[in-house]
Amino acid sequence: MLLQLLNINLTLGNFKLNSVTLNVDQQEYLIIIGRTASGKTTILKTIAGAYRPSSGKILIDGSDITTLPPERRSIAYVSQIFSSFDPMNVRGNIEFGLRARGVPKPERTQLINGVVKDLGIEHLLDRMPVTLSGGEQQRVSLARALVTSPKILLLDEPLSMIDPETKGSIIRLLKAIPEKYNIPVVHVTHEWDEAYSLASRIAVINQGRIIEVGDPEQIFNEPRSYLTAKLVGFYDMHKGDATLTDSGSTIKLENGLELKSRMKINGSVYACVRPERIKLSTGDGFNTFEGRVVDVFRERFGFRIIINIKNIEFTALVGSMLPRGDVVTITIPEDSVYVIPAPESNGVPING
Amino acid sequence: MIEFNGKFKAFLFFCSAITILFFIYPILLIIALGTKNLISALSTGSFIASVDVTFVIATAAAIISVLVGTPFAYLLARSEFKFKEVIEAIIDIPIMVPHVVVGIMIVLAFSSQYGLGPFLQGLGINMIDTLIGAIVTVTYLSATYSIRVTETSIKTINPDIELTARTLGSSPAFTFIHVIVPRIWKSIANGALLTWARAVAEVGALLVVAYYVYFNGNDVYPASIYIYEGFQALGLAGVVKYSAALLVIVLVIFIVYRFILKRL
Repeated sequence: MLLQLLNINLTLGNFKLNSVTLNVDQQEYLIIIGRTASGKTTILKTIAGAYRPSSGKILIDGSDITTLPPERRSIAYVSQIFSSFDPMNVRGNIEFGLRARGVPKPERTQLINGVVKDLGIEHLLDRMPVTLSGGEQQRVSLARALVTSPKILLLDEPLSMIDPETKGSIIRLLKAIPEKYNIPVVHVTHEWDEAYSLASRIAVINQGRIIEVGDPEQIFNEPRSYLTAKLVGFYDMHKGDATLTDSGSTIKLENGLELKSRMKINGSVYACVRPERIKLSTGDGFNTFEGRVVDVFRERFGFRIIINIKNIEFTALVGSMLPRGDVVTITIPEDSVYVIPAPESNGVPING
Repeated sequence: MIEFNGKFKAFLFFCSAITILFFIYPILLIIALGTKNLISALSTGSFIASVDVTFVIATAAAIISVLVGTPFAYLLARSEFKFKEVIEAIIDIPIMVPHVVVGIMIVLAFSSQYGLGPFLQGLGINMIDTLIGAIVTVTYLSATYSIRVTETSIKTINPDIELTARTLGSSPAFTFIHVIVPRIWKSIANGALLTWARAVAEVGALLVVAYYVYFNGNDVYPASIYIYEGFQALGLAGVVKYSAALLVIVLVIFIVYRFILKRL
């Protein structure tokens, strides 16, 4: 275990990190996902050394670094904004950490040449940071961090300031870092598709508390909490009462609608459905309902329509435009109804 | 840019015109009345000596304020600590308290039988009517401007920049010198100019501490006291030329300084 956060508690004004425990392995890409002000950046900055926890320990390779200043942790932090060191050019920016550590000039030049080649930014060395695009700035930030050979790389929403066309190439670049540089990456974001693309493991944070840790498939397909499900793209989460059946369970929603699920569960639950799993249909049978289109939004891959069925709304992704007011029939496959015990059953807080 | 229109625009223009006129009218009048005797004023040895000593005092105050005040401004901008509000109020005291009172405070603190007075006198350091006394007095009165301007400028820098630098291996001092100072040096220079100007303008506290100072082998009045003394002895007409001359010199320095600063 390269990085360990053991029971970290920290108070910043009215905000608290509560007993945060996390482990990060060598070459792991851990993404901490959470809403705005959930504490994800605070965790990152605590690891970096900006804040000292009131209790708990941070270990690297088993050594306690909790009280070490940032410059002695061997942890590189890449902030959400591009933190250019003015008035240095790109070379000066990348060289900064090496200069601060007293690395001799010839070695500095050699290290810089290596990292800029890796990141494809040799042509930017003499440019001033203000003239760079968002993607170029992010590459320079990464080069500046990686050239110092950190033990851990911390990324604070690294894709938030990048235009969509550049995002793809930066995602490829980020994904390659753990293996190429033999370091773990801890990356925080609120974008679930970004997390799904990059993570080898995901931690979900809410109100300063880690509420779930798992591999991306588990987090995205079988979230254990209401909040995680909300964060990872379950648009429709309807409360109901589940009763066991031979093939799974039937969930009676608050409007009387009955949804069948393959999951075997009993009691108060949330029935969760991803919009891409709902299909327009003509027939009848299990989980087939008639409803009225109340809203339509254009999406990159079709249209997102909101369908009202007996005063409960479902969201579906469809290939063609449907006018508002149309009556449609939808089918929700039984294996696409994911069920989470309601908070009163498992104690997971609801914030949605 | 926001476009204004209608009556509100007229109101803004009216208030702006009144403000500009209020500031510029006395300046224009004194320069107009004093210009014809400007050469005479600038040829008066005692006046030039008073301007010299004033600029030495003000420049020393500005340099001290920058050297000591900039790290202090950094601490204020970046740290939260107990009684910070009290410390910030204390820095503003020179702006709030009548300057004659500040003069009395300086004499009491450094040149009386109380506090540090006996110790300093034992070292042969006297504050009354000395260059060092004048410098301490105007530094006390004018450093606030330098500190406040620098503090405000530092607060505009996202602290993530410093954290980024620190995680790259840079010590706090290296970060301050190589990351912060290059970003705020123009504000430091502007704060120094304000401190300098405030020091040049000081009269009340100097009347108490350093009515005249021993400088280049003579007892010399600081320029503000020189003009005040002239006003007492010769009346309004007698000091217009000196007032105009001091105003022109300070204005020229201000304009040239800011012109150079803008182009750096």
